[in-house]
Amino acid sequence: MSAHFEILKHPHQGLAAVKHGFSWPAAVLGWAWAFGRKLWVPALALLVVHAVLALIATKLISENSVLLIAIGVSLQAIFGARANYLLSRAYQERGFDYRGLVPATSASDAIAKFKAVGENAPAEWRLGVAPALFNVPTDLRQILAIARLTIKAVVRYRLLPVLAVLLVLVVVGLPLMLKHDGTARALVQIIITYTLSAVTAILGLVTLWLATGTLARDVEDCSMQMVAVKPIARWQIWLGKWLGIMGLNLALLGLSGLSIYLLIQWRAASLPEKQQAILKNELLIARGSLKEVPPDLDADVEKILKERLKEIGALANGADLATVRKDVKESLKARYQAVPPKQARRWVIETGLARSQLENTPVYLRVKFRSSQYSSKPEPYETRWEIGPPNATNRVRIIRGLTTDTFHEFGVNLTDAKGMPVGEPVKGGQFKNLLDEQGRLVIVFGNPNNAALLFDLDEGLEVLYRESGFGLNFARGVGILFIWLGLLAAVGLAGASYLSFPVAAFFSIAMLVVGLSSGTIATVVKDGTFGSTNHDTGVPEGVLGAVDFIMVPIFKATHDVLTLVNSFSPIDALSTGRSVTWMTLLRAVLQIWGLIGGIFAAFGILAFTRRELATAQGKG
Amino acid sequence: MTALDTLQPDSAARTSTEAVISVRGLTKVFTDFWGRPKARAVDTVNFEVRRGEVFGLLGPNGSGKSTTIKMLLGLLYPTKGHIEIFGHSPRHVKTKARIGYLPEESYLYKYLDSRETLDFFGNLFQLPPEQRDQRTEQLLEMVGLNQVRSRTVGEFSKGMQRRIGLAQALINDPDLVILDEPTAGLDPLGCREVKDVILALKNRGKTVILSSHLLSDVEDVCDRVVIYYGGKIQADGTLKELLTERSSVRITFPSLPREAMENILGTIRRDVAADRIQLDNPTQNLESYFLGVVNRARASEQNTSGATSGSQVAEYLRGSAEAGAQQQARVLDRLVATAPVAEVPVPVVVLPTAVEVESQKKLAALAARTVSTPEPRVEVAAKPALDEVKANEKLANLLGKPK
Repeated sequence: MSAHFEILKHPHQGLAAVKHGFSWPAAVLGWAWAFGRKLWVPALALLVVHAVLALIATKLISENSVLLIAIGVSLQAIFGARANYLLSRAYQERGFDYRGLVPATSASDAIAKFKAVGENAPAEWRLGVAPALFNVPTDLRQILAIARLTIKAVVRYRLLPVLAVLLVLVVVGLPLMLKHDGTARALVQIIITYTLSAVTAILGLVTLWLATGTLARDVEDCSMQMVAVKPIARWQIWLGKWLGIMGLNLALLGLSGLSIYLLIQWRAASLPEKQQAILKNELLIARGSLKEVPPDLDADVEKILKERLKEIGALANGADLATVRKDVKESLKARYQAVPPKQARRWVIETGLARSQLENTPVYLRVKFRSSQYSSKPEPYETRWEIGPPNATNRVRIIRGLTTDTFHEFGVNLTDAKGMPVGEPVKGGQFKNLLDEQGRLVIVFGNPNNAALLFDLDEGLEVLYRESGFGLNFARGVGILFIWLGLLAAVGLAGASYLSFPVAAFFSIAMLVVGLSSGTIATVVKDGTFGSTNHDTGVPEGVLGAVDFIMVPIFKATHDVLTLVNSFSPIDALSTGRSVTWMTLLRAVLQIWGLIGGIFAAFGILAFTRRELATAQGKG
Repeated sequence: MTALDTLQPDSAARTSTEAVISVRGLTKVFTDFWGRPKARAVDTVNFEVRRGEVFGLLGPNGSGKSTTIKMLLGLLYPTKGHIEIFGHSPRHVKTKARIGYLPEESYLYKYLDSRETLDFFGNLFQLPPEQRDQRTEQLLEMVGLNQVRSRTVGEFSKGMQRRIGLAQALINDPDLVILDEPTAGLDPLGCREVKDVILALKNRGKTVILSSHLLSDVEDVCDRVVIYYGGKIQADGTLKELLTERSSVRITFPSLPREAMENILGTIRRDVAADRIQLDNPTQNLESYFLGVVNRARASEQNTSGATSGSQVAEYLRGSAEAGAQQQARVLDRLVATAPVAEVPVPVVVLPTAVEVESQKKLAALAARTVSTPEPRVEVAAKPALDEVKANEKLANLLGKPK
C-alpha cells in the first residue's frame, strides 16, 4: 500500500522519512512507540495517563471499567492520528530540514526514491497526500480551527504548564497543610470542599482572564483583522474562542478532578476501619435525598384570610392587608416548624421511584433544628425518633443527643450481622426495610425537652439513601463546576467583545463579584431595603427611599438571575455524599449555559459583529 | 504594428469591463467617544476596479488609503456611501472566500510557525486538508520559507514576516488580492518577487489592489491608479494617461560612430532646437545590479540563516492553461534560479569601460545636458514610464511635500 512520506534532512545525520497521516504502530503500541522514537514528552504523558486509567479501572471504580477502557482506546486512536506529525516536528527541532513529500511503500523506499531524483522531489509527488481522518462540517472546522488556535496560544505562552503545576500543588499541597482530626468527614471536608473550591476559584479567575485576553488582545494587536477578513462569521470566531477556553478548562479541571479523586482514595486507605465504613456508606457515595412535600403556605394564608374576613367583614382602620398576610404566613410557618415541649411532629416521606433503593440500602436522616431559647452557641438537646410504619414490628426507636443549629446525620436502618440495630455502619452489617405498604417512610419526632424545637421547612429534615457510586457522581459534580466555568468564559468574552482588555477584565471581575455577593443581594431583596431593619418587627429603619426605589428592583432581578446559577451546589453535595443526578447536570446546562450564558453570548456576539475591528491607522 | 503605435495609450487590454469593486460616495468620519466628528478620513470617494486590473492606491501618509482598504474588507464601516465587492457588501461572509489580504504590518499570530500559520488560514478558507497541505508546501517554497517552517513567526525578521503574510494572502487562490504596502520591509529580491507574483496574478485574470508609498513599485505593476490627498481622490487614470509626456519622444539604440551620430542629430536639429535635445548613455537600475550581485553570491553557495530566495510562483497560482501566465512565472525563475552562474541569465551589469568613457565624452560634446536614464535596450517607447525621479517629482508637485 502506498503512502506519503515526509523527507527530512540533517546536515550531518543525513535523510530521514516520516509517514504522513495516521500511524497504526503508534496507535497500537502507544507510549512504547513514542519512547522508541525518542518522543519523550508524549511517551511519558501517555504512560502516566494509561497507568492512572489502569489504576482506576482495577482498584477504584471497577463498575465503570468499560467507560475507562473506551477512554483509553480513544486516547490511543488520537495519538495514532497525531504521532507522525509529532515525530516530524521532533525531527525539525533536532535540526532536520523538511525537504518534501514522497509517495512510497516504506520509509527506506521513500529515501531511496528521494535520492534517485537528486534530492529534489517533483511537485506532482505532493498530490494525493493522505486525507483527513475525520471529516467534520466545514463551518465546524472553522470554529475548531479558532478553538485550537486559542489553546495553542495558551500552551505556547507557557501558561498551561504553569497552571497545571499550580493546580497540582493546590490539590496535593492543601490537604498536606491542613491537619484533620482523623475522621472520614474531616478528610472529605478538606480534600473535597477546600481543595475543589480552591481549584474552582483559580480556574474561575483564569477563565475570566483568558476569555477577556484572548479576544481583546487579538483585536488590539490587530491579529483579529487577519481572521475577520476570511470567510468566517463573527459568531464562529466568538464560539471558537469559547470552545478553546473550555477545552483548556476541560483539561485542567479534568486533571485537578482526577488528582482529587485519586488523592481521596489514597488517603482513605489510612483511616481506621470504622471511619472507612462511614466513608463508604455516607461520604464516597451518591445519595439521593427525599423531603416532605412542602405545604402550600400562600394558599393556606389566603384560605384563612378569606374565612376571617368573612367572619369580621372588613379589616380594622389602619390595618394593612399585606402586613396581616405576612403575619398569618409567619404564624402558619411556625406551626409547621415548631415542635412544642412534650409534643411530637410527624413527617411522611413519599419515596416514589426510589422505593426499591430505600428498602435494602442504608437510610440516613439529616436533621437541623433550632431552639426557642436563645443561645449564642449550639446547645445539646435530647431527641427521640420513631421511624417506620406505625404499629408495626419493624419500627425503629432512636434516642440521640443532638445540638442546635448543626446538621446531624445518623443511620436509621443499620444493623449488625446479627440484625441488632447499630448507630454507625459496621462490616457485614445489614439494612432494615422501614417503609410501609404504600412505600412511605413515616418519621415521628418527640420533643422531651422544656423548650420548643424548630425544624426549618426547607432544611429541617431530609432522608438520604444510596443512589449510585461515587465515581460518576464526582464526575457529574465536577461537570457542574465546568458549566460554571463556561458561564465565566461567556462573561469574559462578552466583555471583550466591545471593550478593551483592561476595561473588559474589570467588567468581568465586577460580574464575578456580583455573583459572589448573592448572599448580600438576597438579604436586600428579602428586607426590601438597603438600610438596616428592625430585627423584631422586620420594618426598615432609616430613610433610603430613592435608593431603595431604584436599587431594590435591580437587586431583585439580579437575585432571580443568580438563583438560576447558584441553585446548584456540587461541592457541598460531593462533600456530604449527596447525589448530583444526570437531571441536575442537564438542568445546570439548560439554566446556566442555555439561559444566562446564552444571554451573555448573544450580547457578546452581537457587539462583536457590530464592532469595527480597525481604526484609521495601524494598531488598535 | 509600428514602433510609433506603441506610443498610443494602452487601453488595458487584459482587463475586462466587469467591475469587481464599485465604490460610490464613500465617506468615513471617525468620531470620539461621544460621537463627535474627529477626522474625515475618506471624503466622497468614487472609483471602480475592473476584473484583471492591477489597481494602485497612492497618497501620502494619512491620506485615506488604508481606511479605504479597511472599508473594502469590512473592518471599518462607511459613514456614508456604498461599496460593492463582487456584487455584495464587504461584510458578506461568503464573498471573503474570494479575497486575499496582506495588511501593512504583520498582524499574524506570533506563536505559530509558518506552516501552522498557513494551515490555520487555509482552514478558515475551508480548504480540504490535502489541498491545504499542497498549497502550504508550494507557498512556503514560493516565499522562500521552506527551510524555516518550524520557527515561529515571532522569531522572523520583518521581511520574513512580510513573506509569510503574502503567502497567507494567496492560500485561497483569491480572485481579488488587496496588498497594503506589500514591499515594506522586504529586500530588493523580495520586492521583485512580490511584483512578479502580482504580475502572475494579473496574467491569470485576478484583480489586485495595491497600496504603496514606493512609487517605483506602483509604476512597475499597476495598470491604473488613484491618488489620494486629504481623504479625496486628486487624480485617477492609467499610468500612461497620467505620466506620458506627449510633447517629447525617446529613442534608444546601440552606440554608433561619431559621424553616424552627427548625421542623426543633424537631422533632428533641423526640427528641434539644440537645447531641447537630451543625450546620454543608458544605465542599469540599482535593482538589476543588486539582483546580479546576489545571484552570483548564491551561485557560489554561500549560506544564509534568513529567508532563502523564493522559488517560482506557486503552481496553483500560475494556472496551467495560460501560456502567458507560465511565461510570467518564469520571470521569477530567471531572477532567483540557483543553477551555476554560466547557466543563469544574470542581468548584465554595465560598468563603464574605457571605450564607453570616451563615448560618453563624445556624447557630452554633442549635447549640452545629460540627465535622463533610458533603459538598456533598443526600443521606441513613451519616455518616462520607468523614470522614477520624474514620477516622484510629478507626484510631489501634485500633492506637495509628503508628510
